[in-house]
Amino acid sequence: MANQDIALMAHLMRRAGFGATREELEALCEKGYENVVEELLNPTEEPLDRFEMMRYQPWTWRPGTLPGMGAAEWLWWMLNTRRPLEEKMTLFWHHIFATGVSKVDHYDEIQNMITMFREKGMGNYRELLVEIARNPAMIYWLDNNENHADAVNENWGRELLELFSMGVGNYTEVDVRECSRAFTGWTFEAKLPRGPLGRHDWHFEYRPEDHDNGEKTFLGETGNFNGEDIIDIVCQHPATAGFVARHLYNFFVADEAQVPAWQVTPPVDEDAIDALTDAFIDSGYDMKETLRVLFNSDFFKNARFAKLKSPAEVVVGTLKLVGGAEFPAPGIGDLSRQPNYMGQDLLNPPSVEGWHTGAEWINSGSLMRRINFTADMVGDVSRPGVQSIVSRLRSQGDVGPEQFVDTCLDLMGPLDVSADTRQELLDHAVPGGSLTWSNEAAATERVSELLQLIVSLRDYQYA
Amino acid sequence: MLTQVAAGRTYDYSHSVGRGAQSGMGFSQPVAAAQGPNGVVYVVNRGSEGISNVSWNRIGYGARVSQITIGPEWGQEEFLGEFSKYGDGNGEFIWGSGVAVDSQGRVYVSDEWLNQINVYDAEGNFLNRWSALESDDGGEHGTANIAIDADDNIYVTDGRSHEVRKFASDGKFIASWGGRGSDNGQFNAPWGITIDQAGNVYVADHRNHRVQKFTADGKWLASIGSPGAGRGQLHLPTAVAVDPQGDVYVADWSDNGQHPGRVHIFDAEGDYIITLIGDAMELSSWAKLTVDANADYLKRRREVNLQNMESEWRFALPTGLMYDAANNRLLVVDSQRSRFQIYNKVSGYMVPQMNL
Repeated sequence: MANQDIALMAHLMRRAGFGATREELEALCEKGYENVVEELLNPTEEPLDRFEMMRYQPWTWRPGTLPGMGAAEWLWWMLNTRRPLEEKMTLFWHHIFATGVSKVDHYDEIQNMITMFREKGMGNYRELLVEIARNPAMIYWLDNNENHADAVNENWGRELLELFSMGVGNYTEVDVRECSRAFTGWTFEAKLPRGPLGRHDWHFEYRPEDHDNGEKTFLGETGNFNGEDIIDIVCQHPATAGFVARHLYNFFVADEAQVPAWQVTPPVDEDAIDALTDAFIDSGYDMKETLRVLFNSDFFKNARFAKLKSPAEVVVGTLKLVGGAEFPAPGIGDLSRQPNYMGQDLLNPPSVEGWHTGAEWINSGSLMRRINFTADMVGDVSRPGVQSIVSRLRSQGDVGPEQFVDTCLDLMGPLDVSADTRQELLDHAVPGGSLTWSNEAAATERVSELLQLIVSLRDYQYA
Repeated sequence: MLTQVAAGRTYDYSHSVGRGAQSGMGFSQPVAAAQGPNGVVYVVNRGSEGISNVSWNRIGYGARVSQITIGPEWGQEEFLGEFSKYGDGNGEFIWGSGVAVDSQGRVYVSDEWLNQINVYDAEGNFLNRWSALESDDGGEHGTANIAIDADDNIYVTDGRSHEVRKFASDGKFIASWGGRGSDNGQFNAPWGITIDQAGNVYVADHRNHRVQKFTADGKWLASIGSPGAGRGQLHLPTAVAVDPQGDVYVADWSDNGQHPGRVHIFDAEGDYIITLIGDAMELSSWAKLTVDANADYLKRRREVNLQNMESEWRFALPTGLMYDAANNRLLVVDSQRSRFQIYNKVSGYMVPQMNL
C-alpha cells in the first residue's frame, strides 16, 4: 500500500474525526478515499448507546456543576463513536455556538445542546439556527429569557448576527435592535430547582403575549417579523455563507486569523472560501454537501499538518492511538479534564466567541500539559496501541537507527518532520545502535522512549 | 395513579424516602439496598467521580453505605449512620454495586471495579473481604450485584463476563453458570439478582431485556418478559425482586413519559400484571427539609407547570428493588432521584363504586 495513501487517509481521519489506528487506516485505504468520505458523510454504524455510560457512571446522566467534569460523557462519545465526522461536527458547532456552564450552571443542559449538534450538525444550517435559537441553554446564556416586548435585551440578537451567522460589518445597530425585537417571547418554562432531588430539563416556550408584534425593518426588509423570519433573512445574506465557510476552513483545513480579525484580514485561501461558499449556497445551506466539497478538494488534501491540534484533538487522538480507554472506567472524569488543562474546557468555553485556535492554543503551560499527557500515554507500553507499534517494529527484525526512527514516525502518523527534527531524533537513537530484539524488554523501552520524544515534538502538535 | 388494581392485587403508593446528599440524611446515586434481620436498610451509594485540587488524588463524592430505618408512613424514616468510602483499602469500594445481608446480619457489599466483596457486621464494622472472581483470569469482569440464599450461599452477577457465580459465605467458590449469548441460560450483561423463598435464583439479564429464573445450582427454569416497550415487555432491566407470593418485580430503563424507568410486575408464572412508573408527588420528609430551608426553591417550585412537575414524580433510571416482606411493600431504589419510592401491596382492598 502506497505510503501516500496512508498519509492522506490519516490526514482525513485526523480532520474528519479524531484519528485512527494504523490497522484502521489500512482497512480504510482499501475502500478508497472518496468512498471513505461518503461513509463519513453518511454513517451507517449505530450511534453509541448512552445507557452503556449510565450503566457504569450513573452520575453523568445529570452531572452536578462541580467539580467540573461534565464533559466525561462527551469524551466517551468522541473516543468510541463509529460516526467520527458526526462527532467532529458536534465539536465544530460547540466552537461556534459556544455556550458555557460558567453561566448556565447546568452541565446537563449543555449536554442536551451537544446531543442536538450530534443529531443535526450535518444537516441544514437554517434548521440548526432555529434549533439553537430555541435551545434553553443558549437562551439563558445570551439572556433571551430577559428579552421582552416592552424591554428588549439585545444579547442574543447581537450574537446571532456577529458570531453565529454574518460577522461584524454586515449589519447596523438598528438591525441588532430589530432582530432582537423579533425574538421577544422566545424563552423557556420554569423548571424545578436542582435540589433536593437532582436536575430537570428546561423546555423552550414561546410566549405570544411577550412578543413584539410590531413592524420591523431588518437588513432592508420590512414586516412583522418573528424569529424564524429573521433567520431566513440572515441565511439569504451572502455574508452568512462566507462566514460559515471561513469557520469550516479554520476548523477542518488550516489555521486562519481569529474571528475578530476577519473583517480586516483576508482569508488564507480565498478560492477555497469561495468554493465552500458556493457549495453552501447552492445546496440550500446543507452542511453535508458543503463538507463533501471540502473533503474532496485539493486545498484540503494539500493541507496536511497545516493546523494546530485543539486540546480535544490532542487528548482524544492520543487516546485513540494508544487504546485502552474505551471502557468508561474510573478516571474518565480525570481524562475529560485533560483538554481543560491544555486550555479547552469542554462545555465551558471562555466566552460566546468560543476558543481562539491555532497558535493561540499554545503557551508554556499548555504546551507542557500537552507533552506530559501524551508522553505519559505513549510511554505506557501496556496499552494496546503502543503494543501494536512495538509489535510492528518487532516484525521488522533488527533495524538500524535510521529505520527505527523512520518507522516510528511512520506509525505515529505518518508524521512529516523537518530534516532538523529527524536529525534530533537520530541523535537520540544512534548512540543506542541498532534496535535489536534479543533483549525484548530493552528494545521495548527504547521504543517507548522514542515515542515519548516524538509526541514532544512541535510536529506532533499539528494535525 | 397512586393506587393500581389488577389481577387481584392492589399496589398503593405510600411515600418516598431520601434526597440528594453526599453524607448523612440522603443518598448519592444509590444503586442497591437490602434489609437486615435487625430491620436496618443498608443502601449502597455509588457516588460520583471527582477530582480534588491535585490531579493525582482521585476521589469519589458520596460513595458510602447508608444505614436507615424506614417506617410505615411519611416522615418516619431515621438515619442511623453510614460506613465505607471511596477507595481500595479494607472496607472501601470504588464502584459499589450491590448489597445483601446474611442470616447472621452480616452485610456484604460488592465492588464492580475491584471485583471484591467487603463484609461488615450489622453496625458496619469491616470484617473481611474476598475476591468475587472464580480465578484471576485476566479477563474483563464487573461484579454487578449480589444476593444471599437461606443457607447463606452468596450469588453474584458479573456484567462483563456474563455469568453468575456462587460462593460459600466465607468466599469459597462453589459454581458458576452463564456465558455470553441470548439462549436460555446465557446472559448479556446480567445485573440485578435475587432469591425467592424456594431458593430459586432470578437474574435481570440487562441487555437481553429479560429476567431468567434458575435453580440454586444454575439449572435454567424460565424466562420472564421479552424485549420491547409494550405490556410486559422489558428494556434494559436492572433489578429484580420476588415477594412471598411469588410475584416478580422488574425495574428497567424503558420510557415512563419523563425518564427511563419503570417497574413491571409479573405473577409466579411470568404472566404480566401491571407497571409502576413512579408517583412521588409529595416530597420526602428529608427533601422537604431542604426545600423549606431555601426560600428560592419554594418560590420556583410554585412557578413550575404540571408537565414539568411530573419530571420529579417519575422514576429516573431505577437500579434497585427490595421487597420488604414483613411490611408487604416494595421499595424502588430511584437512583437518579436519590430516594426510595415505596408501594404497599395491599390485601383486602375494596374498590369504591365507579359512579362516584
